Amino acid sequence: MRAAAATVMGIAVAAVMAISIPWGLGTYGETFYYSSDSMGFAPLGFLVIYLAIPAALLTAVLTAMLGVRAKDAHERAVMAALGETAGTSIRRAVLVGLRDGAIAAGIAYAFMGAMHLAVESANGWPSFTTETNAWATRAVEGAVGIVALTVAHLISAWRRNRSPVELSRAAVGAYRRPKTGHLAVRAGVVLAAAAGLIVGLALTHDGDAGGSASGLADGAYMTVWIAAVAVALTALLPAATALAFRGVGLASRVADRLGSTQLAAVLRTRSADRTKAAARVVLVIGVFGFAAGALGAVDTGVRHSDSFAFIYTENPTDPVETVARIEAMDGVTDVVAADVVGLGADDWTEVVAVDPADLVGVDDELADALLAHPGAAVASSSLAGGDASRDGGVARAFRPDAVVPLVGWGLAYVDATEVDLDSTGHTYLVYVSEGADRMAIGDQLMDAVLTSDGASPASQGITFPAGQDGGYSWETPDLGASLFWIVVVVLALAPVAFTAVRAGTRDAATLTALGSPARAVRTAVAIEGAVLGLTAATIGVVSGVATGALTEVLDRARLSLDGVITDSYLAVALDSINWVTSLGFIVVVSLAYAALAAMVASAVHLETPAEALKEGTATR
Amino acid sequence: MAVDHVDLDIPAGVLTAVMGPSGSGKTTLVHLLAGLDRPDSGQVWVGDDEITAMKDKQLAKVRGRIVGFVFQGFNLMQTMSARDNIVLPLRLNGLPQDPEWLDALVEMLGIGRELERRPYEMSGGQQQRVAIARALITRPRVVLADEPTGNLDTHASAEVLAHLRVSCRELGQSVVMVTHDPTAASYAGRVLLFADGKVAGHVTDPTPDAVLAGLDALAGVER
Repeated sequence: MRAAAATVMGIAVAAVMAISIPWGLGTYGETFYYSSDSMGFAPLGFLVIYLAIPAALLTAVLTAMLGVRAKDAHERAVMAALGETAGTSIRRAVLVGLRDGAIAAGIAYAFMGAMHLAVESANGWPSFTTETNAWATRAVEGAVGIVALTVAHLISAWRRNRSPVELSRAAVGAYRRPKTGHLAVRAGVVLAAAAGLIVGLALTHDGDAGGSASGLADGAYMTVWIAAVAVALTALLPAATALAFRGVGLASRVADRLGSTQLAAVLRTRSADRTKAAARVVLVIGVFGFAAGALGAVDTGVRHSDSFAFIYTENPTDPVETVARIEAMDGVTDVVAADVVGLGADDWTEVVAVDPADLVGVDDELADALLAHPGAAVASSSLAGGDASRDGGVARAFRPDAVVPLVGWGLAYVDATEVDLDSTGHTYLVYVSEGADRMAIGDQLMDAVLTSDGASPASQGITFPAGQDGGYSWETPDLGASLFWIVVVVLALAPVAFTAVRAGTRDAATLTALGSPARAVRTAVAIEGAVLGLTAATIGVVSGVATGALTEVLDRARLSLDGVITDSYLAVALDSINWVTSLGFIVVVSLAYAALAAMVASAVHLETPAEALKEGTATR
Repeated sequence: MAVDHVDLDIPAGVLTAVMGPSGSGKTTLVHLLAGLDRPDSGQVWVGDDEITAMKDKQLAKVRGRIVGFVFQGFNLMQTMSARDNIVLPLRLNGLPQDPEWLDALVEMLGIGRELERRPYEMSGGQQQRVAIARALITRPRVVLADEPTGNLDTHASAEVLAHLRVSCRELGQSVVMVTHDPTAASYAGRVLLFADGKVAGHVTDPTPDAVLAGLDALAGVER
């Protein structure tokens, strides 16, 4: 299982590394600018913290995988019987983890690096000139993967003062529900206490940006995440295992009702045959599901209308003439003119002052937010509190009373009729018809002005909303990103299915030797895979979604201390659910695991039960 | 080649022992007889049925209803109780349970206290008895046993062998037993001596001394 665990780590790390490749390089062409700043220690440290929860979940997956095959545990028992001390065993495990991790992460790093260079080369950019931070980012991600695999090996080698005989019995492969009740209860109490603290602070404090209450809430928020993961791993996913075994029993009764008595008999046997391998498979899929549900939670807040394409800035300019010129372009349906502050290089956020009346019927959600909260900024929630004073553009523009969260990007909208800005120029919100090529319109707009009268405007630029730059992340709620992550999970499940099915070869061969047709056994393996996959994926995703929604709500409560306005916490909870990823994960992963299990069962099924029995003896 | 040019007739009602050095093809022979393995060439018949010509479904029926097999490594389902292991062939083949027959087997094999335990909670001898009970639970016409008394003490071995001899005589079963123990072989009506995948000789009405003499002669031939 060592190789499978290293493979899964490599796939997971490669997938995360792929996020930082500049996939959109060709799409944007001249309208897009790539920075090449070097990355300091602070952002790298932030990245490690950002990756802490995914790394913890990856560690859980890898630990579960290392326990799928009883042979590994058996070998550890033999080594203990031969005199190997616990300390030596752990040191050996750590070295194995480091070596396997370095190889897997190294391959992933090299492959994704080559991909980065290929994307640059294919789009005519010199090597190492775009997204240069990504090289350091990927190195950190690789290091986090190595740590995850090493910790998983360490946990697997941990003996808990067992004697060699006890280790030997534990290595048999029978599933025993872990005694984690106390741990789950403690984690639940910590979760409730931390959540209660955040809610309490939110109710009793107001406008405490950067204060002690705000710092306390930040700490409680991190605690909520850690405790929620602990509850999932110690209570929810073990419950999924018990449920999955019952599910196989239910499948047996269904098969019996349908007249497939032999299939029913095999399924009944497999339901009673509660192996550690099957339990670990449930845990692996469940953790993946939890990650999909929790980390896939989408940002909540005001969203632009679907027809919104980009913001175009051109100065100096005549707003009336410019609006007319842009509206005349093919595919453009509406253009809203606004004033802007913060076009300097040090300005993180551009503040756009727009009349909400101009947005009614064009961009209703934004219009409603501006009308409902005059004096507030509709902006990224990070703008709230202390961040505003550090942001050059915003600091020069105004001090917002409050912030209504805006999904996606570094713009702040204010009601031009309520906030008096010292404008530094004009900007235009451009809306297009469905199916229009937004990038092409942007390029056309830039080119047209560059060539008009042979003179360039003093400043000109286009800013696209996040999620349209050809890249993806686990928070991007579009179909392509969801499919990408689901494919990654399916790839990672392949070695899990292979090892789990092979671990059961001996039992499957015994059933065949006792009179079950090989086909019935193979079908049962596939059905069992579907049931295990469906149960694990469902409980994993549901618990992940619940965690994601809870943390999103608590995040908003925490941010309320910094002045972030939330109209409805229930709406926030519901809006945070990434339905495409969640439902897609449940359906695709359970079907994929069943298919993988069936394929592996067919592939490892040897010509005769005698051969399979020999093979099973060798692999058990 | 594990088994080569073997022409055998295993009569009903006779306990047949197969002996020979390790690697001589004994286990392969019983696997072929049970339909667990397919020969590259040749035929295996059980009664009037040629099992080497059967498709998977027919073969499964033979394995489940006609043949009972005691594996050398027991091959018990580790996560199921002894009772569930014993009745497993009945469940898999849709056969009715016969509590009296189960009780008789349990009593004969002395595993009454082990019925609710898992295999990994039992000794090797106890696991072997459960494996024997599982092989006999369907009252098969053919019983094939690979070292069925290898892990049993003298007293238990004698009981099991005596039962196999009685049941094959009274039920008309064909029983083939692979063993390295001349005393165990002496319970058989006939001992086949195997070497290099071939039948190198046989001993009828064997005694431990006669079996040892036959094995010594076999060793002399090999030298």
